[in-house]
Amino acid sequence: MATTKTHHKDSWDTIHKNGPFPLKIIQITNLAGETKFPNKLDRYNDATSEIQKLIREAKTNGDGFRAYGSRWSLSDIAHQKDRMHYNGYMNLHIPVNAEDQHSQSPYDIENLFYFQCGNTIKEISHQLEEHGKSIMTSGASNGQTIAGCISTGVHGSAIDVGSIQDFVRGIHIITGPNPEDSIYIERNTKPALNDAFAQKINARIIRNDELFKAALVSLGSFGFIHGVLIEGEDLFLLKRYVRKIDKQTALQLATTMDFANSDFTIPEEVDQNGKGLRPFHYKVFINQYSDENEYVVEFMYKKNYETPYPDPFPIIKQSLYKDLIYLFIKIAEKFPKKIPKLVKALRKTILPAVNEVTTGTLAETFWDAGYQGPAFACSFGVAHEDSERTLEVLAKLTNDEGPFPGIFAMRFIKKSEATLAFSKFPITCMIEIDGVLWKESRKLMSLEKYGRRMIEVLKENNIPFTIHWGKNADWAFPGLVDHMFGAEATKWMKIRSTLLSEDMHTLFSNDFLDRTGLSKREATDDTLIANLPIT
Amino acid sequence: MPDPLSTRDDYYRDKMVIEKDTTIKISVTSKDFTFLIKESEECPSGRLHTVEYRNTFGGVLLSAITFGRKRKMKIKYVCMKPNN
Repeated sequence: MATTKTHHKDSWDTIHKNGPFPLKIIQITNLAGETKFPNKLDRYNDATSEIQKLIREAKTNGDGFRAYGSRWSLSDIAHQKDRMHYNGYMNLHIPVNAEDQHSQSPYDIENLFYFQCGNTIKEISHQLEEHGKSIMTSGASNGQTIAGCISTGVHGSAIDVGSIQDFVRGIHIITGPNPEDSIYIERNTKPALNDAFAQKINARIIRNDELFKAALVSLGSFGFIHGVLIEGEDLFLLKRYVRKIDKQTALQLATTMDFANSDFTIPEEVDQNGKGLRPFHYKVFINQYSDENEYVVEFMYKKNYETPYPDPFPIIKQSLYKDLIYLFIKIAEKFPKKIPKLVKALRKTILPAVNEVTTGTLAETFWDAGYQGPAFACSFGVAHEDSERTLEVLAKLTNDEGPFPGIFAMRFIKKSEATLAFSKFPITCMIEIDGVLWKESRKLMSLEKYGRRMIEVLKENNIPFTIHWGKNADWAFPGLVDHMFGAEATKWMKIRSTLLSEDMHTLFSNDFLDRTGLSKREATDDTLIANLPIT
Repeated sequence: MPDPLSTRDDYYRDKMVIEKDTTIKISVTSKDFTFLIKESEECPSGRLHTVEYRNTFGGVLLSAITFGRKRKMKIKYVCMKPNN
């Protein structure tokens, strides 16, 4: 049987120390041993029973309950003040095959993989590679769990692909302690697996596009995500180039995405007419404190998987002296005017090496990230056509009212179908400022206030925007979610209110949802979660 | 191997780290020694993820004055999470 250890704690924190946040209990579940349960499905179903038992206990005690994985989010979206469940040891991979496939499935069964919630992107990539497959995209690293990724909308900079949730084809959610609370959700327009598979995982099936899209980015509040069906693709290579290019050219590429008619091309990546090819990935690094006329830019082009290729792994990884980071923070707090000089001094650590060319699989390219100490990250999604204007506005704020200890970058993602995806524009530019976490001082405003000012200036300049759910922001800004998502947010709350009973609606809420107004219980409508015929 | 109860603040934050700081005594006829990674509660997979080896001046001195019979072993390692 799966076993859960309960640890009484006072507090919980994110990996980048954005807390601490108060907590009563951490629960850690280990799967049953293979000797007693040689069949993976039996181990999986046993874990479902264990999670339902924990939900029942939380309910009996009047506590909230929330799963978390790698705690990489910098906001407190993963936090619950009562009971938090660590699911990192729940990492089964359950093979699906032709007998599990729905007769009207548009997917190649060879590309479908079913993973338990606690599998990290690294583990999933490893499993897929054994089958000659790859995931379609990832974040900048690989340590997040699959359930955490989709709940918060983790993304890379794959301009024509999307985010992690966009290659999910089915989700198993435990919405309460009763047998009927185990639900497997798919689209009704694109079914992937059959009813028999849902029965195998002791779940009732609901095929409903709108429910599926709402559950894709659920902010961890639709229940306990136990399993995820993903679609992979044939293994491929990414050829990565880092170049310094003229600022205006880099920004023109950002606002037009027109790589064919740009002044800048990489000689190896042009068509027979000498026009630039469209990259898989485009990222711009911006030191807003520098007057240089060039930006460091990263391009990646998709290639067929062929061996051999040069080993892309940095075998030896170096990290900064932790004391150096703390020294940086202390100087930044006391002498903010020194920040631009400090950023310049650390540019070799912060920015990728210019003229670097590497080749590797997606998993090798977006590899392990070392812990770099307390960090902040604010990330805004805007239409890529607005990227230059947004950068100008945010960089001006950062220079005029800062400086703050971080630098900007721009990444680009295709629109997601998820109801609350921050990648809601046809191509969303994520403008992010990452850096070291500081404390408010007489000379430097707090991160919270900086986050508020960023929202204010974007609104003043009439730039439509979203914010990354897992990043720092003034999440209590009045009307923020309504401003970002409007009717889509209301639809999401209605679906959540219908899917969850009243007590489970409260149990799976948290401070983050309360603060953003998303925990509001709306009138229920059973048609929103009906199992629809396949069309 | 992740460690959700870890309180470390260094590179190994959130990782289950096994630290060995000991002196190995080997016989005059032995050239060197190996250290076997065994499956344990901290290392359920028995497979390595990361190893950090630290050479100290004291360790070098100890090896020199004992003609290599005593070797200081100061390592940290993290194991892979078991596959399921």
